[in-house]
Amino acid sequence: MSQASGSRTDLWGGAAWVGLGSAILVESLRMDRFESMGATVYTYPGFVPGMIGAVVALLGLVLMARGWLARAQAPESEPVMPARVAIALLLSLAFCLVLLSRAHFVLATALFVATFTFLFADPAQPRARRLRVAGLSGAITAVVVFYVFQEIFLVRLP
Amino acid sequence: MLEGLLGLAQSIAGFATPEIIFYALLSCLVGVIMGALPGLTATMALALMTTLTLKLPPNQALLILICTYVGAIYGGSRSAILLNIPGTPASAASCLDGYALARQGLAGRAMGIATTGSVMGTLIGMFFLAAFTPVLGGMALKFGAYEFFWLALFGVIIAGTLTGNDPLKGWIAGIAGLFIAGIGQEPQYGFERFSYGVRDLAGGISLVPALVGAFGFAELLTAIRERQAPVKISAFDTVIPRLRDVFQYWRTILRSGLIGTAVGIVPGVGEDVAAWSSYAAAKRASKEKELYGKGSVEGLMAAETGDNACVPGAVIPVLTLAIPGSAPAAVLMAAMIIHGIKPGPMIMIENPRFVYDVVAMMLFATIGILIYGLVLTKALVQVLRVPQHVLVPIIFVLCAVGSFAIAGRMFDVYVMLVFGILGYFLRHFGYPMAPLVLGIVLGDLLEKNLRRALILSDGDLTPFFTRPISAVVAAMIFGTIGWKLWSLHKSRQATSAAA
Repeated sequence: MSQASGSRTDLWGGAAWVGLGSAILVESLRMDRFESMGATVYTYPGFVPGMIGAVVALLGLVLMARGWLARAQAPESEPVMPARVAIALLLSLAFCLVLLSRAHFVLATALFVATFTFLFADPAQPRARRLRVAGLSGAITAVVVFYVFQEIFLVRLP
Repeated sequence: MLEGLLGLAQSIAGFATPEIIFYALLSCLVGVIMGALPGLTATMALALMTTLTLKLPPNQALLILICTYVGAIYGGSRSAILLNIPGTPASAASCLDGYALARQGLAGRAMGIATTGSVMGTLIGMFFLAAFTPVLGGMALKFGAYEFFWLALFGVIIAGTLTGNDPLKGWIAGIAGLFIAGIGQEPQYGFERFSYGVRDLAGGISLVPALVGAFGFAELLTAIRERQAPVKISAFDTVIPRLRDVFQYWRTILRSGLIGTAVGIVPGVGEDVAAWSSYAAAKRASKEKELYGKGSVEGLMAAETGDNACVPGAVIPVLTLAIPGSAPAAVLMAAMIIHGIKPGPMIMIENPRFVYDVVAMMLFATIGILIYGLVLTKALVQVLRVPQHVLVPIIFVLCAVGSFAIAGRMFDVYVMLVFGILGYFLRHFGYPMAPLVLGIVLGDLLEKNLRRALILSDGDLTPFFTRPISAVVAAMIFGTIGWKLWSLHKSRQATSAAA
């Protein structure tokens, strides 16, 4: 990452940590003190999180200050989430949030693995080969994982 | 000492059954494969195997995990030597000389050296594990709340200082991990913190799904960023290690083993620092400095000995202090707790045999990597040809299944997803994962001991700085922070002067 883009992200990142740390501190101060149960300042639930929030906010301020002092002209920086990562993330979310709750594990896994493998295969390869590899990969993964986890190691599957 | 040897012999004899040997060899193989494949880490391998072994008896489960751990750290050298891509971060130092040797047509010799170094490193680390654990366990019985508070904080600070390129971001990640550990019911009054009515959050964030997310899913998303170039594996012939290398470089092996074990004992630092530290020390002491980076046998030996010696070293603080020496050791510790073993100072009193069982497990793992290093290298190397786009979805399925298997609830899968996305972005912006994970592991220990200590001293901070062990650890923390700030200030001055 270039120095300029690094200093910009330090500035914004530091601001985010200051926000988060402050929110943690405020929430901690709002927590029940349990004075009626004999709690002291060291034993009330918000004591340690409050300190942690304060430290996070302080470190965030230091990061912001560092980012501000190192600011410069901003050249190009690499994208945070290129298309490949976005597609991989979407497929993964679809598998966990949609497929697993609506289909049998074997079918959901086969569909996810086959789709992922096909979409990310080298486009220079013939389509028939990509489909074949994707289909095989999906089917074998689904069956082997199901059998090994559930039948051999007796581990529950989603 | 005789008692210790007897205990070790009993443990080895107890494990020498066909079923156990089969599990040991199989899990070593899984570890070597997962370590060899770039993008898959030892932590991920351990997290996935933890879920697979939930229903096994504790000793069998831990044997599998330790063999996977040792195998994964060793396996990273395969791709480092043949592809110039470290299979795990621990093997990054091996790329320098390992790949250079491969380009000279000496890939087989390089792999033999890596096998030798890994075996010797694990054996040296094992010796210290057997010798030091009872001693450190005895010392740890003298630790009170003040000492454990400082130790937990030290773990987070040192992990943040030594991992990644930016200590400030490392410290932020570590402190954020301490916050995450506090989510859920607090231990004294059962008050639900930061759960906002979400019932599953009341129980807190489970460690294994968080680890699988941060080290598994995040790693997969990072790996898939670029399309993988076609894999070109260097040709090689014999991989049999030469005894001559062991005799010629015995000083380097011993030094690297000591450094690797010592780095392993330091909380949260891990095998990559052990490898680089051993490499740097070997180069400083070497009579063949000019060969380093160009195919130095000694350099490769140092890196591989150091990173494998770190494995038993990282287990020492797990057993004696319940503080992990590395991220994979954190998973190992979680697995011990899941299987009802309580690591910590009381282990030498409540379950002393277990320490020798762990040493015996390390021995079996060492034999496993020796066998695979000698016999199955050519077959194992074919695994490197599996395309990344085929492997990534399979590993993701294992991440989802593994996260679900811990408690049988989808909430843990969602935790894995959140930590994976968080881990991806944090990694992109330069925040290391190891301090974050260590913060989650040590958060409970830190909070309980801080509160206990303040109740005991009625709010007086003096004992934190006047008790001898507390004073030493506190000095180490402030010394580490001061030293790092000073060296950053000096390097900034040097950069400004050069500009």
